[in-house]
Amino acid sequence: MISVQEIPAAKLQPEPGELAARLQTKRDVTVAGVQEAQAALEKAICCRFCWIKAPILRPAENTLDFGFGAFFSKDLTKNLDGCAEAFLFAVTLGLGVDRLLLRLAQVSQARHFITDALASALAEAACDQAEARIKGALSCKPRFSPGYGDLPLEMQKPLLNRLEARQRLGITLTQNLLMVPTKSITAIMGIYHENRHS
Amino acid sequence: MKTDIRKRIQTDRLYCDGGTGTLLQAMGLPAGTAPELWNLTHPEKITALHAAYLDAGSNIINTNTFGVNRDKYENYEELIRAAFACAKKAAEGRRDAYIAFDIGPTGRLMEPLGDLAFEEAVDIFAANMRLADACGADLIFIETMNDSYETKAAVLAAKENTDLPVFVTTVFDGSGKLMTGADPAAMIALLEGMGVDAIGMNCSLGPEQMLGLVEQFAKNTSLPIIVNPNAGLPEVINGETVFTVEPEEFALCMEEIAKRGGCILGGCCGTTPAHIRRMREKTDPIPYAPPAKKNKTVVSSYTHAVAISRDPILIGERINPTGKPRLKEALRSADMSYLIHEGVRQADAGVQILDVNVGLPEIDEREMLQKAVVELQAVTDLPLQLDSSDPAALAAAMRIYNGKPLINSVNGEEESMNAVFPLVQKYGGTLIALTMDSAGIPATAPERLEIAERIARRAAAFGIEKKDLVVDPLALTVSADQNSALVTLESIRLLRENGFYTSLGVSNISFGLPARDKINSTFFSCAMENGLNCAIMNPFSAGMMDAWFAYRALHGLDPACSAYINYADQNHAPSEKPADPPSLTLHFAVVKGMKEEAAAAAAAALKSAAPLDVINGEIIPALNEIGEAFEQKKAYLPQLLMSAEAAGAAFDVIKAAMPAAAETGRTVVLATVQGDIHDIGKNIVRVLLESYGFKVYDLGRDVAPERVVDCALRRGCKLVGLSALMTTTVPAMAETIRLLHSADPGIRVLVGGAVLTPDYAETIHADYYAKDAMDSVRIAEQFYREQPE
Repeated sequence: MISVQEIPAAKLQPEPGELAARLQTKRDVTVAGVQEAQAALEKAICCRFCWIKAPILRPAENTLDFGFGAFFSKDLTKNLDGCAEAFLFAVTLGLGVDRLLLRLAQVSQARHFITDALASALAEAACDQAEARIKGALSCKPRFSPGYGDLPLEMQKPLLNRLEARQRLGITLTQNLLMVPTKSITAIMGIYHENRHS
Repeated sequence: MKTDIRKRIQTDRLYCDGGTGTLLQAMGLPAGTAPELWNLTHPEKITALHAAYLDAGSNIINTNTFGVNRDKYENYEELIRAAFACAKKAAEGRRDAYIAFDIGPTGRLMEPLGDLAFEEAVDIFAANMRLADACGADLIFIETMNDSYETKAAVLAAKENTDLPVFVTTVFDGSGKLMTGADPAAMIALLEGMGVDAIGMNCSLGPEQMLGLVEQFAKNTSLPIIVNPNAGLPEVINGETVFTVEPEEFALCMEEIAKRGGCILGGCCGTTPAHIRRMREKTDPIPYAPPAKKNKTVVSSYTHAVAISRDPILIGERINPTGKPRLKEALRSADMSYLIHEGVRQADAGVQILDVNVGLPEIDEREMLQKAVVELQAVTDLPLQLDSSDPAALAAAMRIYNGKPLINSVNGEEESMNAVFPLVQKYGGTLIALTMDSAGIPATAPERLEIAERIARRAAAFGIEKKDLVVDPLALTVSADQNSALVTLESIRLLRENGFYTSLGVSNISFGLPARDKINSTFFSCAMENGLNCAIMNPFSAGMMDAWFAYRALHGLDPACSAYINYADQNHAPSEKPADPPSLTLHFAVVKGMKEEAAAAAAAALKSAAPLDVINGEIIPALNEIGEAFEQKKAYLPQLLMSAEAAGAAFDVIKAAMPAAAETGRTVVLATVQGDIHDIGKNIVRVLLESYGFKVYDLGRDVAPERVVDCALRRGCKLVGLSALMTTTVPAMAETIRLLHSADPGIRVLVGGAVLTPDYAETIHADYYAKDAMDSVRIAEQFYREQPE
């Protein structure tokens, strides 16, 4: 079944390289306005994640099934090589961030740009923390999301359904398969067989 | 014949059913399969489930149609008909079973955050409502809604397509709010305004966590309260999520809920017929009374309600084109940004409601008011006062407003009442009633009261209660008649004594006088002293804000005078800044991206230099400096943007000092192409172009090719910038370029965006390719240098 957990907004810190990339600056550049953006985001963020553990079926070559239909993906098949099970999870910073960005887009492009970049970096940080909590002591493959490589974005819909992400986290999909809240991430993370691990 | 459920709930406690999904799973429904599919494949099991709840004591059973709508299922009609067949079979021969047509959320998120348009949502729900009506539902049960706006769409669909009773429950989280922010008072205001028959809460929480919410409902609503909790909060046991509250404990909590005002009781996730049975046994002995009538005058936004009371409410008056050339110009060119800024600034200045008036003879007010509401409710959570003399404009705005609005206004003329009352009846709203009629504005207070009484009587005939009227006895300028202020003040007093709340457009009093603020603020104090409840006023007037904070402190409305002290600290602390001219140069402030300093420095520079010299001598060189640093990778995009905004702030100061004819005439049309909703890049280009003094017509994102062409031709603009982020939208860009070139071969198109390359730009016949925002400015400057004057 599906478990839901929260991450307090104050516990989220952007990874410096990630933030610099989002801001289109360099690691050591201090950007005025980031602190203000972080304070505003801290109030707006309601960060939660949910996950399940699913067996991996391989009905055909380069085709995977986690219990909600088969998907062709060479890249994910390669990523999950040697795994019999995977964690499926979704993380979101919540709708408050979208509200904030909508407002900033009207008020100040500079603040909007900085806040948007920071929020994206924080979503990655949230995903890292969720990942760490979900896997615990287990050894896992790097996480993989719909839209990476050849994994179809269409997978987003059944994956979110399986995670009951709408009811549990408030994540919805637009007709173009984009998630709202926009600062949301879904991922698949293969679990190594324990005997291989040792 | 069953008693109409609307009557039943006045005399009896009724019981809903409990959970569906988990029980069906116990009957063999595979995890991940939608329960509604069983209406066709396993109808006998669905019927058995309904029957089990009826046997346990439920009087209301919900059809198994929670997730069914035409957006999700092509065969939605078949699924709904089958669901009714199951429910009817279970109810057959039972005297006390109401069949509720169950409707859950669409699963999509409403605009502006999501992509479900309001009218599309209404249409989706409407198709279900018509079918439910035809299938013989006893009532409509809209449940598990977590967005006030989507709830409004569903209720509207019910009201427009059936006469059936409508029950609504929404999902409050642990903090007592819907996912999109509404608290119970906001939901009550919205739903009572729209005339639903019972309201409450379901899912997410267990009965214990709902106790506080039930109390909030009982305090604020006049409608029967529905309480359908989960069997506790979900717990994870051995990796399984389970609901652990057993029937006995559940029933004990529900007993308490019934005592505190729960009227229609049932369960949600994890509850079973055993929970319902035990709950009935426990609660049947408790005497039943529907909630007492509340006489609260409230308006609401998508997050909260504002109650009108003896504590005066500030309504910001600044979104009104009368006497504001800049707003007029913005409205004529359909540029909403000025209006949005006025809204945000007034909210920051502390108003509690925003007045929205966009009436100008030469614009389509209906379209504009609706647009203004959409834009404002995207950026502010303040309730809006929809202000128009055109009932069609009011109707359009009330329909898409996300809450219960304040409506300005109706008056004592039959025509006005007949046009406005039906709108309030349908959409809900609190109505400002002007004490005037075809004979004009009476000269005395008793006559003004008389008109108010007449309006209230006529309103009652439309089912609009006196509590939903706020009377405006009208302030007329004291310069024309020195008695007028006294009559208005007496009217306020008289109206209050007769049980009316009052509102005034305060500033009218000083029309034609010098130093109007002095008169306004003193009159405002007098009006409050006489009992004024709402003031339409200018929150940027220190005098008015002083009067309001002081009045509240002096009348026991400001505990510990803390709001006053806070206000005084912020606004009247001795200035630490020296009175000397700012030490920062304009050039420096722009390069460093210091917005306020740039504006101050521009004002100082204007004292010794002509506007154009300040622009060309200070701002442009500063922008060039930061622009070059950006191009050489010595400065970065956030810095460039901050400099551009600082330059923009300086420009605003200079523009105000500059005759309109001196504007540069360099224009650019900008749009993110059709199908593409990523507009950060385009917005950055806009800010930079504006900072260089270009006039930008920004058409927004997802813009149809025809609109781009139309704007370019109408504005006589020869330079168009298009952006696209996704490969899938490049064809739309190519099409837009083709149409532009064929409409006017003189038009030049500049393209940019993540997916484009110079080669790609050439293939789609763009005239210029910009690698970044700075490059766009260079190209635009080059373009206008080469243009003949």
